[in-house]
Amino acid sequence: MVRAHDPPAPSPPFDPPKLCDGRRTAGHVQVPDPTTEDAGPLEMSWKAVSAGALVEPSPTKLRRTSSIAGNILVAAEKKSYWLQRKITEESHSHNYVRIGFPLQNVTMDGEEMSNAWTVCKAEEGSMYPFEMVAIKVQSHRQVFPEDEDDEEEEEEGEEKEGGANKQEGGDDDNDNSNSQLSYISDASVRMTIARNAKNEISALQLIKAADPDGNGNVLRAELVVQDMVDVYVIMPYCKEGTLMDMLSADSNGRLEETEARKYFRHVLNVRFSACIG
Amino acid sequence: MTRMEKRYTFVMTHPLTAPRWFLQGLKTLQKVKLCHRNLSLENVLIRGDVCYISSLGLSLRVPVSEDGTVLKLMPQAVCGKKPEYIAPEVFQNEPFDGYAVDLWAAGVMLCQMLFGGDVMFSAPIPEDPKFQEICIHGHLKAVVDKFQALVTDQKAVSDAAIDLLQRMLRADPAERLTLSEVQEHPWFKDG
Repeated sequence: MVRAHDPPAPSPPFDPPKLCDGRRTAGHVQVPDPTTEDAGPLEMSWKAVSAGALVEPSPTKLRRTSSIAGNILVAAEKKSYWLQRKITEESHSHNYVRIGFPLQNVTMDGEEMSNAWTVCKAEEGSMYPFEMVAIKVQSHRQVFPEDEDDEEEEEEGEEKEGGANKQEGGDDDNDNSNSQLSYISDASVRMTIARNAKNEISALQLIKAADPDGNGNVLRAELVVQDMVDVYVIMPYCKEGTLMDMLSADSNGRLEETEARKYFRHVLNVRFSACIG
Repeated sequence: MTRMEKRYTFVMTHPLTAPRWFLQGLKTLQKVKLCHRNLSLENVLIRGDVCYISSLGLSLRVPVSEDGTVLKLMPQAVCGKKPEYIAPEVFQNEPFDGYAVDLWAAGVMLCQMLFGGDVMFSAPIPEDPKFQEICIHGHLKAVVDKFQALVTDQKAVSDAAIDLLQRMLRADPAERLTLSEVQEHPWFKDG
């Protein structure tokens, strides 16, 4: 609870985000074939795979498919992801979210193949037969514009970075009073988007540190990867969409009171307090 | 069955997941002293049967004084896509309590979930008659009754829900319920 007489304060800056290095590569991905009899429950996610991956059915149980060039993201700690179709696009930027499948390296004769992967099966009792993630892809330049400036002109780059930190501390729209209005506001929009993207990653990592088990009902970043071009934020995939979609699906655009309470509880606080005693 | 017994039943049927506290959503954010600032129905994702808050791009760290008191934030540029989710004090460019603006947005979300868009005001400004009625004068019940008289297929929303909504949608952030007060509200706690 805030006290009325305390003066307002600037928001403390976020810690810089921690990114691990990765690279995009091509390779082979083996996926279970839905046409065999024992494919069974795998069929559902097969459809999801084929929607983005141009795979045809074949008589063998496991089919070797070449990925489209560069569709595999290899990150540190042997984590690899198969990038699939876009699921969102934000109009104000070049950001988009792709569906992805975590991959594991194929072992052949006891030896791990470095350029062949297979999709990971989900744990027993999971909603989907395969593990699925959402991968938010943002251009590196957009998340770290000051780094780019550094490369071009080192001294000036440092100055700009100082300016960015100052901006993070307080209000950011003073620029508009400047006579070079159009140029500055364009730059400040760029800085604002960059700061938002960077802050989001920092915030996600702050939450992950405080809530390592992921019970907190905030969508977490499992891993944040960068290559030369892009920054990839890997998050759980939420197939059911947004709460807004849920409301739109209802003919009246409303939820039953008990439904609403359930989701409201998730948004706010406690699913149940099961620690008795 | 008392609430205690209900909980106990749950523990018995879900032994693996139950013996933990499931902290969620806003509580998680407040634990790490973040305010989201862009909470809306579009920014809550559903996986299976569980919601997750997403889109933290506009979140801010909440300043805390040396003695651990949460401080108000300096006015920031107004942000967010939909004006009704923006708390009135943010709209007026005043210093604001980061947690209170998130609870405002949560109240707007609940209002949308229960009534659809029809009861909602369109912007948190005194010129908006519905905002004036609901958030300044506190006449949500009257607005809802008027709405329900028009719509015949609408199931009545309980008085407890309307009471909670009214307490969350107060123009003055000092009168608004805090997160722990919402948790203690009968509608949230029971049923």
